[in-house]
Amino acid sequence: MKRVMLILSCLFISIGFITAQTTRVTGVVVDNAGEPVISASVVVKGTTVGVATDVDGGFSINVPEGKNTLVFSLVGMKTVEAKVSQNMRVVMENDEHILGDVVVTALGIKRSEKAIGYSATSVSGDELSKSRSADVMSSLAGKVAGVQISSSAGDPGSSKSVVIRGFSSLSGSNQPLYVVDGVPMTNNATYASDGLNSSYDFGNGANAVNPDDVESMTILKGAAATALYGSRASSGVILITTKSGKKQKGLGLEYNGGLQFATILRLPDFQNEYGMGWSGVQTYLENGSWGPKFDGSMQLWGQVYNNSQKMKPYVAMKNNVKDFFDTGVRYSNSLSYNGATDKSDYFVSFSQLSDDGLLPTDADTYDKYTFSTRASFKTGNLRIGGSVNFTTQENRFAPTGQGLSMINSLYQMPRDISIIGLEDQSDPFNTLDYYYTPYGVTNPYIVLNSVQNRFLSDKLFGKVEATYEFSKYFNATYRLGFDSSNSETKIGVPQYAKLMDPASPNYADMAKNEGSVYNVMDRRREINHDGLVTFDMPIGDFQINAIAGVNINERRVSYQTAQVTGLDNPTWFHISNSPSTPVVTERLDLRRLVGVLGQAEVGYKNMLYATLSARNDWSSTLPVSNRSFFYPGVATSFVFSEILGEEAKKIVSFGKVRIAWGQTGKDADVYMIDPYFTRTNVNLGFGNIIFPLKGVNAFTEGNVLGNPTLQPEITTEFEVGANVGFFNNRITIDAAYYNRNSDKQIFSLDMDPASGYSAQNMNLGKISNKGVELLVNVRPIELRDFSWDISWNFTKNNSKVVSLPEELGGSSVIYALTGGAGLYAEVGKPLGVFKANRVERDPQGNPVVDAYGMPIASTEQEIIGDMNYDYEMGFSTTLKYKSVSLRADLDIRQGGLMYSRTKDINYFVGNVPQTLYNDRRTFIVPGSVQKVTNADGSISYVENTSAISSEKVYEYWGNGGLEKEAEWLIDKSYVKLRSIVLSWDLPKKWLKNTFLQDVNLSVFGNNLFVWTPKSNSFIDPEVTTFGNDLRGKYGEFSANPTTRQFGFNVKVKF
Amino acid sequence: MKKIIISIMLVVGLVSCNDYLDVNKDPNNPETTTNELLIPSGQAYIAAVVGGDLHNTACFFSQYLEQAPEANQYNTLCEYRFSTDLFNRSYSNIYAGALKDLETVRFQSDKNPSDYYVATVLRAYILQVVVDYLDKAPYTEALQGNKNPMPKWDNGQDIYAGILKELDDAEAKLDGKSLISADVILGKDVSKWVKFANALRLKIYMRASNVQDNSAKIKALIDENNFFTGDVKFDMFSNEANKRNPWYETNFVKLANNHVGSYPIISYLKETEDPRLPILFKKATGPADYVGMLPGSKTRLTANKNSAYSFPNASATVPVYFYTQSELQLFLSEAYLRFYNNDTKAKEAYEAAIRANFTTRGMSDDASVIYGVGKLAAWNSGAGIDAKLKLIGTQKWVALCMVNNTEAWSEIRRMGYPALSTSTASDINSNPSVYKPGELICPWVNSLGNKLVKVLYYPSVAANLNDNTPDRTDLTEKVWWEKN
Repeated sequence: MKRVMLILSCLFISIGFITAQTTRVTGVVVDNAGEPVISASVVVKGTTVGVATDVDGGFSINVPEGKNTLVFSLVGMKTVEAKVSQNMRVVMENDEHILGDVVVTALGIKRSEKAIGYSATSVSGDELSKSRSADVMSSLAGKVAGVQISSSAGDPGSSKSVVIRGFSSLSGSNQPLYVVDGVPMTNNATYASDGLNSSYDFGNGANAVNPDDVESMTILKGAAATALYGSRASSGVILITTKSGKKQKGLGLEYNGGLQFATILRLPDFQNEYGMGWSGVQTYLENGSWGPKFDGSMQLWGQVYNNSQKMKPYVAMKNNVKDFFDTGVRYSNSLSYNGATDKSDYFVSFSQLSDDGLLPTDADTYDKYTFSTRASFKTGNLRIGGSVNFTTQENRFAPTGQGLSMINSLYQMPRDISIIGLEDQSDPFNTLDYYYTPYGVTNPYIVLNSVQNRFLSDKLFGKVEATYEFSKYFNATYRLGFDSSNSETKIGVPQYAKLMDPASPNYADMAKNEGSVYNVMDRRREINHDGLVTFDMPIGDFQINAIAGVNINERRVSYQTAQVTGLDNPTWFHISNSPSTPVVTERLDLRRLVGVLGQAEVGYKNMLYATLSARNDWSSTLPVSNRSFFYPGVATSFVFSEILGEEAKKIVSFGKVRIAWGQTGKDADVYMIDPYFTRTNVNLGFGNIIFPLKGVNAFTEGNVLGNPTLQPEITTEFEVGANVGFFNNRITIDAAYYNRNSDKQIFSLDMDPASGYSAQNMNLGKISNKGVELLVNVRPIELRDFSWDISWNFTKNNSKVVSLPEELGGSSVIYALTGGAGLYAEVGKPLGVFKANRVERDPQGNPVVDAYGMPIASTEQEIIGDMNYDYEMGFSTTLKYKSVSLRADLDIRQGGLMYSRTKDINYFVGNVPQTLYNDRRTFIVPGSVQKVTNADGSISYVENTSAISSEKVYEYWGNGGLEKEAEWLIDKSYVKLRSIVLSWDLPKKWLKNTFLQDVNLSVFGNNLFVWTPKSNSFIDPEVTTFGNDLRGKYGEFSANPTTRQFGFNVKVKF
Repeated sequence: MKKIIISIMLVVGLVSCNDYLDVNKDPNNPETTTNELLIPSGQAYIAAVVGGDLHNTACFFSQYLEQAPEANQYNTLCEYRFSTDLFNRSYSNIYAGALKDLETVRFQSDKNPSDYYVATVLRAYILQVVVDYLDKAPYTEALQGNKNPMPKWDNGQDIYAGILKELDDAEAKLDGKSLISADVILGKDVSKWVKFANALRLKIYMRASNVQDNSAKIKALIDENNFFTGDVKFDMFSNEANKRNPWYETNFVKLANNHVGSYPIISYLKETEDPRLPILFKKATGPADYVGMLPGSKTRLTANKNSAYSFPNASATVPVYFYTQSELQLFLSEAYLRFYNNDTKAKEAYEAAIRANFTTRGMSDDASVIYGVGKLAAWNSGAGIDAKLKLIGTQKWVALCMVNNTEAWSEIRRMGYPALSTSTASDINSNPSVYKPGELICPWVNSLGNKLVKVLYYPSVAANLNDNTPDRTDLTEKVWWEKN
């Protein structure tokens, strides 16, 4: 260290000598947003005298006598010339063709884009606020190559899935690490673990960030980029930099308000030829449309009440399902106030968002309030800062899935029933007692009004930070980051039978629904201590940057749940409201991690860069002997355009190639090492036996065998890429190829239960993801007042399960329905293949049917396809005329399968046109054969002559026809018109004599249209009911429909 | 500068302190536990299998119950087209649940041979069930964790021999000490466990008696005459969530309306004017009578609705019967007949069995309404041995109905009674007089053609994870003890 100090003092001394013959000029360079421009070159025109701006955009240059012009340049910005003056303030404008000219990289370090040897994509906060998403991620869907962003559900406040460069962990999280102003954020998603019954999705932790507070976001994809963040960054990092106080022309007050409406985006196509009944017979009580053809005649229907029955014409109600839905309304307001002096800055914001989704009633609502404050001040060489963010939100979610859910009742509605006609509860035929069908569904209005599903969450996060500048080039920072969340979940299902008359016709079928209350109190806390020393200085033609640091992380999750079934007061949801003993659970997870990290970067002549990084982690969740793990990374980039001649530069205005290699390690989940016992809870499939029984308690040996030799998962990634700009950057291309291998996967490997355990925690299996990412921006037209930009991004990711333990027979289940299709990891195949039983076929490939002509399911499951998109693409086009801009974004995803219960149930009840095949008349399955067992035991096949009778057509379709279980796997390709935003910045001259600084008006539409292949006439294939990670790719089990949104937005700066 | 370096060193010093990271002890689950808590756990897992999944599977195979017309949960069981998943949950609950817990008890029982003994008796009891349903099963190499993740499958005959030897060995070690463990079945009374074990030995010998000459062993047991009284049962249920009888919890709380009475049992109970009929079934609401559904007829008689058939009576708090007095008495009756040629003793035991069954069902009726003079199920000393065995088999079928269906299906297969009717379900439907009550009926829709199911598939969870799992493609294969 002494030596460095010596060099530094020498330099100061030499500078001191030079000043004697020149004029010393200082100043600051900022961009149009007022942000400092770092590493810009400042050259005295006509000389070779030059310096680079520092991290604050400041510079100090000695101008030789007789010279009076400075030239400021930086790749990605327009070059500026300015006359010399004291305390200069120079504004450099972004050259918009290069995305993210200054990129916030790991640990919040700002880097010129050209210095980066890996793929990093930056997005400005402005882009987020124009289309007014409720969260920070959803407006980026389809816009960033290599990043798959999906909304798990259309319901307000639900979770977002963000997957960077494919799924790489079979058991752990594949969601990126969110880092807000240097502090990792808790991002757990809250959703029903089951996915089949009464499912809900209350969103993920990152939803707590107010999009209006975001200055910029950077997505770090590869291992070389994320290594410094340690084990949680193995699925990428989303760096969020929030706004801080700036020196203001005006008051520093900013208001952003919007109003949005939501309507239904996609419902299944319904048939309008057949109505209520089953087996071709009209029964008046059926939950399906397998009755006779519509004939317009007046028909009695439904239960008999007081010797009377309802009557209606037997005709299709074409829009009965659509009419059930309302228009969703959301309004949001946010207000911020900020400012700065030379020594301090402050920022305060408040935001509100209130969303009532498109279901009638307020069963689907989302209310969020955020409050943020941050400030910093400088005293001497010490800068102290901090931030506090508080978010409180309340979600209500109409549960999805089978059984008595709203959506399940809705889709089992015969085509001739007016659904809105069922709302009036003063009509006895609409009550639980006399609702028209007793078959496992009921009036959807009653469900919406009586089921309670509520989530309340408070989140407090922020930091305290102190930076001491030892010199201009050398500083040290300590940061304490915290994130604390508390949430309450209450799910209440009424005891319907107690609301009913025991003599009523529906009573017997509803009596089994006992009602229940389920409460969860959840508390999460994360604390991070970071200590960092940074050294950054130019030495001759070299720019040296080095960082060393230590990170101490503690994460603590505790929760208690309580549940009772069997309610006494039928619609009062409280744990005391039952004669049963509540089932109470308690859980505490505590984990700690210590990391030491270092990074050194050398830049040569703004042309050649190399970065070496390394981190060593010690994790509490691994066995002591394997606790420490080390992972390095290296990234280099070469700006080849720097050596091009002037002529060549007219064509190739910018060019960079980059190459990077890196590793990240990932520790285990808590408590996977030791054997354990647990209170006996016998799984009955449907139901459980949970001790204590009659005052006797029991414990059983845990079914998952711990592993004292567990090791961390290691992901190794290699990437190459290039950024090239042509014709003064009118065309730019950013391309990347990556190869990521995630080895030593930690997961609970299923075992033959005869071993005494059903699974063991293991390090086994390797998954590879290789892919290309391409981003092409073209500006075909650029006039003084008008410009047209087109952007195209393309992602192709090929995942492959390279190895799995032999014990698994090369296959591991990700998720499977009992007796239905399953999602598997299979060696040699892409991750997530779907397997299902199709019809059995004879050696010639003819379908085998039984004696009644009905297809027989094959005994072996076969691979139907996989969950992965063949490719993903995004198109966007922006037209700008003066201060008006019009932008449209298209999100295209091709290929892949998902499970759809919406399809299944609509086949089962005969509501979709596919079930009209052959006009529902009797038919022989074409080419079918019957299997005959000969006297000698051999098998032969004979032509089938048995026709499926018209009464049995429902069974044929209900069982998926020839495809059987595979029928419910649908092609999830889609093209979505993600957004159209028309935005207008009021001309500055209009505002000149007002107190307004900026006014922006925008009209937007999100998710306006979705186009799917003809085979998917059922759902918006973006939805899932299985959470926002790998298992979510299984598909949907009667999800609520998604929405299209449109609205307008006003942004005013005072 | 120095200060910074010192503070960095301090931080690093703190880091290297391993104590900070030693927080991976699971606070949510204990690392060890006592026999006191493990024995009831093993007992509950066995109850859940014998009185839950298998009780349900066997209620269809024994033709006590049929899939109700207006629901679909068990169509595949009634038509013998169930999948290889059928036994998965039972298999898991038996091996990773009951047997693992009992194994831990045995391992922790050096100082108390009574605990070891009780765990061994329970282990023998459930292993016999596994053999009776699958034939082969993991045994000698089972329960070794990751030391042997793919245990071999032993022959059923060897497992029978193995568990008998285990019973003898464990009994030889008994030292008169009482149980440490909680015992929710026989009240910690070791002598009662010995009596249960003797009856279990009798059951094992009798089950194999058609293919092995076990007469000497059976006679030795009977001569010793040290069997349990009353019923051996798991009687711990109460009518609240998660604490109910497993079959009730699954089928009458979580699911509903899947079971109606089957044609054979209802026909026979009506024929014999058995007072157990109204205990077992409700009257149908269509015709106000007891009506059973023809096996496998659901998709052939689609006009019939739930209202056409009798629903079973079920209770949330009924115990799971491991071994009833009536079953024991019927084994004795059969043994007196076959191995002692003692008609008097056989008749005595037969009648005692019916009385015991009435008691089990909480009936105060005089059981002689069944076996009294002139009654259809009266003991006829003058009849041949086959007729007597048929009577024993048929009354065993009645006695076990919804008491222990799991045993019932095994005994039907072993004894061959009730026998299979020569008429098809379709014939019986059009002309009921061709059917003789007390016979089984080949399911109308039957993926096994005209045969009855004899065995289950080896569970797919084992087939998928253990290369040693044998193949089974034919559900009409016989378990090793079934005579040809």
